[in-house]
Amino acid sequence: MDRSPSQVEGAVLSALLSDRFPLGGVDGKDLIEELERLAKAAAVVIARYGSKEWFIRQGRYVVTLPDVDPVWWVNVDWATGDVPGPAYVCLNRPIYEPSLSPRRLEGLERLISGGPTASLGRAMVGGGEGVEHLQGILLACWEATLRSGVPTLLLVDEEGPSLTARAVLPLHGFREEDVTRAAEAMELTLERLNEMNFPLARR
Amino acid sequence: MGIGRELGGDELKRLEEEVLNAILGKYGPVRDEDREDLLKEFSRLARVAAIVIAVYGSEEWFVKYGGFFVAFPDVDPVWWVDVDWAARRPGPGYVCLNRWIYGARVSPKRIDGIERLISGGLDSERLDWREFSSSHQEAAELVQTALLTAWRATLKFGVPVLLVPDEEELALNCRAVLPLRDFRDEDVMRALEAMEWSMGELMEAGFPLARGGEG
Repeated sequence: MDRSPSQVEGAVLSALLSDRFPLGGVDGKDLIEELERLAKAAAVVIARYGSKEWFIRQGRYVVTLPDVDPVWWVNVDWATGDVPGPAYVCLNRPIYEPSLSPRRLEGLERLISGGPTASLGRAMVGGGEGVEHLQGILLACWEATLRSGVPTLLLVDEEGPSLTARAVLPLHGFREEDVTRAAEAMELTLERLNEMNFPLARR
Repeated sequence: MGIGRELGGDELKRLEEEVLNAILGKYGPVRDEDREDLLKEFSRLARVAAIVIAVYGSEEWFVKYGGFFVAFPDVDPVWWVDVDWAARRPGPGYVCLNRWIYGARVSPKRIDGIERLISGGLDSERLDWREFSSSHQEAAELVQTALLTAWRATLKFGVPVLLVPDEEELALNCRAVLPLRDFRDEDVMRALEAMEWSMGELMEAGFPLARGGEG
């Protein structure tokens, strides 16, 4: 590590604040608190991987690390992104995207484009390559969750259709070592997917 | 289970206070330096437990394990709400809605493979899933069904739904988690719905759901 997380944290917070400026009123206070938590988590990730090119994606609460992994990012979001609820600091990485994965998995795309909450249960019964891949991904996320203690979720974009792995930490109450465990959960998930020769998204 | 009662603001507040008092009574003397943190934690647990009690009309709820655990034996003997880490490793606290889906003592049929999987330390050693699924086909299929169900529930309701093994009890726990701070009543309702939906899906899939006994 070149710099410690606490050294990086101030720089990340300044970058986040200048990106969101001006802030005002009660919302501003909440937002600053949120950005401080994001900066804390992002700083641990930046320090862990020695990123020198991290930046704030303009106008969004997103810290990206292009020199570590062009498709890695840290943000603040609801757990699954689309259902309002408590906020989490999220470590994210797309694992499958037709345009970014080295090969297409049509069976998997068919499965997830139908929507995971609709007929997926029945579709799974038929088996096939898509089912096998999805089972492998869910197992990898489960193992990562149990070994790290950090919920490691699998998000779906039906339109992509794409899949993103996401390790979540509640906005309040996490420590530096929890962020490290979240990063380890992401690493383990990707390692397992590589072992099963899954065509991981990459730029 | 079945969501059958509307939540009333006053009733809920009264229940919340009642649960909080029961928790504090079970916990025992609180040191001054711990008071603020513990009260915060317990009041969040009490809020979630009060919603569960009100929704299901539980008359027999009780608090155990030093106050960190609220059970609802008349609603479902293997249902409970507690404050815990997400998945057995030290970390941020969550309020968790829990139900055993498999338990050696409480499932209608024993599945040897599931018990081997749980007792083998799922989270400490590398599991060769191919080998496991060829030697324990039924168990592998049931676990895959449970994982798929938890995943779909997570996406449908926006609340992380996890599967957590209990090695001592040879049980598999399905758990919807809410961060200790910042959740609203409607988030608790979504967590409840996620649990209900998961149980319905598992029953429909023929999963040997745990019942009876103590959670």
